[in-house]
Amino acid sequence: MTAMVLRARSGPGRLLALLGAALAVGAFTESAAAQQKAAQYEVSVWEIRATRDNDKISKELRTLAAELKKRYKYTGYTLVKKSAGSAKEGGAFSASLSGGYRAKVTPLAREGQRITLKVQVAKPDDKKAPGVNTTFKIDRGAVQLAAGLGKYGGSDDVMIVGVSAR
Amino acid sequence: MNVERDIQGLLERLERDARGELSPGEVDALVAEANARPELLAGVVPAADAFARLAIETAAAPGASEWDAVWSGIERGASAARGAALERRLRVHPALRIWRPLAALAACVAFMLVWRLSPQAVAAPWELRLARDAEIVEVEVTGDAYASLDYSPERGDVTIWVFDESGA
Repeated sequence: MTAMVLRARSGPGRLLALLGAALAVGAFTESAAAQQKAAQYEVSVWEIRATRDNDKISKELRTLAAELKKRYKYTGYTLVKKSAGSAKEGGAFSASLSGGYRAKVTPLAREGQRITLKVQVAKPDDKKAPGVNTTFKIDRGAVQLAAGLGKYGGSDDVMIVGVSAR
Repeated sequence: MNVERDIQGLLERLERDARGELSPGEVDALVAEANARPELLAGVVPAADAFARLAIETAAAPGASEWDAVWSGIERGASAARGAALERRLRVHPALRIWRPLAALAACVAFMLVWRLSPQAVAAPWELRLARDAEIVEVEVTGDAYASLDYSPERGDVTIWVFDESGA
């Protein structure tokens, strides 16, 4: 046994031992990273401006706008801003929106392809401004809309906030 | 000018071993004539010996003009060698200057390709699609507002509408 150990400490045996140790450390690190990644969510917040003054539709919104135009009186849909980031489960991702509004998205749980999100859209400087505080469960990567939040410069245009996570 | 008589005179002076009296031009003329016509020395043995010594001395000791020619040749050669070396350096240096950055660039490109083509990097783009079968757990409005849920039975999506009660 001693002889075997001594042999393993020199030459190819030592190299193999080092390689094995490196692989074990790598596998452990990969596993830890995968676990950490599982607890992380990619979060996206889209700010969309809906108007009746024109029929301009942003390239990114073509599919979505086609559905919305059938249901609502608004003819134009413009992507004002897209914010993306990551958040841990229970942690929040915040995005600033037009007119002093802010969106705060907190991933609460993941069950298979379903993700539960808590979303707050509010104007911190104006407590009377319309805001929403909601929790919903959606498919991974799908977009949930909250509309009617805020106006743009006194116009009848409304803000639609789309939230998604994966 | 009678070259032969002049040469004879030079030979006679040579025979008298009066080499010191000969000017460099006369020595050159005598050497050239003797090389062209060796028979001139046939009958004058002492002169032939003296000429042989003279020829040896003349051959062994290059004149100032020859040394100048030699040095100018050396300088020309050195200058040409320097030029050639500079030219070689100029030919080689750009290659050396370019080769290493090119190798670094190629490594960066390879790294970028590996990174872009790796499975985690080719994630699908985030397309905007409405959530179907959304479950609204709770809705609470803040400020002077009220909420309405607009549910689409055929598509299964729901939009949360927030209306300003003040109508502003």
